Amino acid sequence: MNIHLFDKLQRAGHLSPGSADKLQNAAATRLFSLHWELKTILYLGVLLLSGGLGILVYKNIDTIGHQVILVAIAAACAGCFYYCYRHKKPFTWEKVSSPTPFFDYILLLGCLLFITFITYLQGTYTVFANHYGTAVFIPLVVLLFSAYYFDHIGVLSLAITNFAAWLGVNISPYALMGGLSLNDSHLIRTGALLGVGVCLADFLSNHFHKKAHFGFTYRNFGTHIFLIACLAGMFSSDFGFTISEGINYYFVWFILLAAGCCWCFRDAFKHRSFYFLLIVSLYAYVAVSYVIIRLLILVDDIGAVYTGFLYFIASAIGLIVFLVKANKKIKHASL
Amino acid sequence: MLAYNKTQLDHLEVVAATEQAFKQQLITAEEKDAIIAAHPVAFYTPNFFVRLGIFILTAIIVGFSLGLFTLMMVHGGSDNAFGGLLVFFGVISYVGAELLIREKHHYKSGADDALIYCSGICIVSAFIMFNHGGDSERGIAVIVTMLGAYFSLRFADMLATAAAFAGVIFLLFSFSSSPWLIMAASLGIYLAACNLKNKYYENNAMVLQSLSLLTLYAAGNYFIVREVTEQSQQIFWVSTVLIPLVYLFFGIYRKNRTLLRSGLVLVAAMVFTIRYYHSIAPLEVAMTLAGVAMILIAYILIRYLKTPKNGFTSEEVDEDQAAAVQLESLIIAQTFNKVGAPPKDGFEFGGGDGGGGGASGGY
Repeated sequence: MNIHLFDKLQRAGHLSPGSADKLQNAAATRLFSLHWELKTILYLGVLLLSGGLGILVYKNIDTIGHQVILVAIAAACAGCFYYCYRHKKPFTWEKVSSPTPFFDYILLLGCLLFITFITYLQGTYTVFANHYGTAVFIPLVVLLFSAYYFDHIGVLSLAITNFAAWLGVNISPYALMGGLSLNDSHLIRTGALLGVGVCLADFLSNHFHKKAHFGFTYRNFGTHIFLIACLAGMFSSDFGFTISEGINYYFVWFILLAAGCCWCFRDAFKHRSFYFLLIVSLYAYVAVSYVIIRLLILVDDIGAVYTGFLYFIASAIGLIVFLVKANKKIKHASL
Repeated sequence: MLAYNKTQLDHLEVVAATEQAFKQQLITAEEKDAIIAAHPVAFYTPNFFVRLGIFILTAIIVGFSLGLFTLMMVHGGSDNAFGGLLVFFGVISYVGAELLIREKHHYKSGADDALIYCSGICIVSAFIMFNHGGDSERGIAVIVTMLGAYFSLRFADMLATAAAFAGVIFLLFSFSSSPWLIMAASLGIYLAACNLKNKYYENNAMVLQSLSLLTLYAAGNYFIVREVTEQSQQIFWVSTVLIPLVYLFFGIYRKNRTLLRSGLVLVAAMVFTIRYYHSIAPLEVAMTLAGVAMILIAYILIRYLKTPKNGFTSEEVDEDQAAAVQLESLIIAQTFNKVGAPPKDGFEFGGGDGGGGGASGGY
């Protein structure tokens, strides 16, 4: 806080003596917070520990013996969950702040160890026989339960990506940015349905006021998955992955995407979210541009190329005007 | 020198500080309203995400306009003609940015920064064009440094400052690869940036400080010295080990966040350097032990600083952390999503080429 600035304001007569004293006090007792530095160290520690243990177990399977490793992992995992259970605040369907900064990371470590445990169990003893789905489904249930019970958004994100993996789609943020690795029509349809489902989870959370603050996470994943699946559907119709042979379905995907965008726009205005406004605008822009280019390619003339360039210039200006107007419309933005 | 109106910048600072103080309940609502009314801000600064959108779209407009002009003169055009076109676009973008700022009072609106960057990129590309890709690395570095310095002074732009800094270091390096020279230059720039007390250039000073701290370490790092000069000079082990610790010490002693964070990052660099030459334990053991050690250190410090000591606290001072929590959850989903992904028949996900990159998929 800049105390000289407030001195000046006080001399201009904008501040009462009481407030000036408060400001002086606050400036004198201001603390240097190491919050984010310590959190980063903790997070990296958890990352290194879970990664290191994973490799350690993998390399020493022959010498240590499976039982010892399993027991060790199970004990560590149980320890983590026991710590969380002891320190947690009472459960409610509202937002619960974490009791200690440490709590979040112990829970995360516990969940990761549990996934390792199950994977190891399946890998060594094939406990679930050939039901590979079960080996993913059990951690999924535990993740989802932990996310709600201990109120942890990071674990919820893990649960969503694991759910998608269970269905066979890789939706880690990096994979999403690279185009969802959706390269056949089955995965594209799965992705679209998954997106709708996750958005529905957001709607239900808000509607029934059950952990409504999880809504953003659901909405974020859901919107991206659905719209990217639609785009992938449109693009892939070029490369011969049509839903049924011989018919070009890209326009169907375009209609779906348009409907999704309309719904998301309404939602964005309702939640006063510029973030969603921007990403939905950009998805819609890419989709419309794609359709325009496909139509222009049909013309097969140099004029079409010029039209294409002019279209991009004009449409970008149009979208800027739209964003500026929306910015005026939404006051008091939230994320 | 600054393109933006200084009175307006002052007002912006007052309003931001007032809102912060009001959030911490240090002043009353009436006082806040009175101060904001007395300090009107005419700048056009949209929400961050709108700014991002405007930035992208402005870049698209400039890019496609350039494409359109190139297309029109593609018949009989030469490298020089294209270079001339780039210079023309650079100038137009710059004038556009100046006009937006002067007439429309844009301030970090996305359009002004995009135009500045486009202008810089166009002019540098034009320079490369005129040189026909000849031996002109130093020339490019000079141009980048000059443009960066000018844009830093004119628009207080942080990326321009970083570009100018990179240009200077590159120039120095191209004349002499002596580590001592780079270290001395970095130290000089750091001290100069610390003494830069002009409040309009606070962020630029911070960028200079962080970057010069990093280059100061990099120039004295044993691994880098050995790779670059191809001789092993044991003296650089001293700087490899000591510099991060010195940063950390002064960061804590003077409560300087830039020093502290640089120190933390560089401790990791130090560990990697030592491990590269003197590996005591295999990787997984080192990872596990380091993980345990880091968790323990963080745990002890968090417990110790729960009640503030010597002006330090482990609690958060600003409450507004909704965005940070969401970002953290995304990082968790990304970094841990490979954990325990079971082998599954019939599902091989390669890095699909389904063009999430956008409209370019159509060509």
